[in-house]
Amino acid sequence: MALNIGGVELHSRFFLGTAGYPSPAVLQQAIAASGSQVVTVGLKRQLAHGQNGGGAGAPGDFYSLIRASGAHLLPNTAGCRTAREAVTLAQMARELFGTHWIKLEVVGDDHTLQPDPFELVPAAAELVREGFEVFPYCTDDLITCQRLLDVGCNLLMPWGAPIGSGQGLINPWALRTLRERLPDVPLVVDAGIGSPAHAVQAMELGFDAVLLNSAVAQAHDPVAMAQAFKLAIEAGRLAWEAGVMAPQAMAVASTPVTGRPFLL
Amino acid sequence: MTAMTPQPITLNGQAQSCPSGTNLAELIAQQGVAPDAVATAVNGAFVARDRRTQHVLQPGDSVTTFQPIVGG
Repeated sequence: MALNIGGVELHSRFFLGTAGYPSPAVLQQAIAASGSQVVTVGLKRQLAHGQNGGGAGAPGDFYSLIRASGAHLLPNTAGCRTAREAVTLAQMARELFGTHWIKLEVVGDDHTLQPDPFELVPAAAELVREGFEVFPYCTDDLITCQRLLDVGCNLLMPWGAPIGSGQGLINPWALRTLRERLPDVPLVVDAGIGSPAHAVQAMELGFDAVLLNSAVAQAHDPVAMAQAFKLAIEAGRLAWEAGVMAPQAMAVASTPVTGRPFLL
Repeated sequence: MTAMTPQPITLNGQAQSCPSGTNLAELIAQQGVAPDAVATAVNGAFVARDRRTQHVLQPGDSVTTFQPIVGG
């Protein structure tokens, strides 16, 4: 079944970041291999007189090819420290990218890049009032998540681990609790995923999608890794829908034999 | 201040001067930047594209322009 975000049906549950690829061409191929229908983008204050550097981050290069991919754009508010900054950057993103979707990031700590809930919640409230579909990047704290829903967020994006760490799901209990307490809310694990196994784990926990960037961009072969994550996310989702068996403490024979084979 | 008197502003953190009465749309055009290629803020507040013409710059204003980049 498709994932529905504010009336937009998504058949891929893989949200892909666009930063850090070896080249725009590799990024383009990775998006195609991932099957992603949602890709994240950012905004940057321009340097004076158009001195904005080159590489995969050069605006002309990447933006035209991302547009050509046909994926929905999900701009972020990376780098923001206050609700005011984040709201302003979101307003700019809406104009620049032509979307009311915003990945709301308000970071409170340099070392962990941990979201600051005391800025995040009021920023989300203001953006919802202004008509944005807010995708809040948050921790796995249940109460923060509930407050974000209270102010009008329709989905949540709790971290698996700190951004770019590749540690996987460092607190599966908290994520499982979120799933159990918020059964009808679209939940996306955002950040910390390092390998396809982590993505499978997130999907088997019942999360609705996974957002990742570094795990693909930093692979030796980002295009192949994008495909690996695509398959992993599909497998994990299928497993969740199928129902994973409950672990047993001891062996339980699976072959229906009648006692021992020989009555000797 | 009379019309066309140079006034100090900053553009993306760099000191500049522009004639008094200059509006934000004119400043962006002077940089050779297409109007829809950037989003703009003055003193940290968003100024929408269709409001730039009405937004006359004042001495000491800090103008910031933002462009699309890759992101996670």
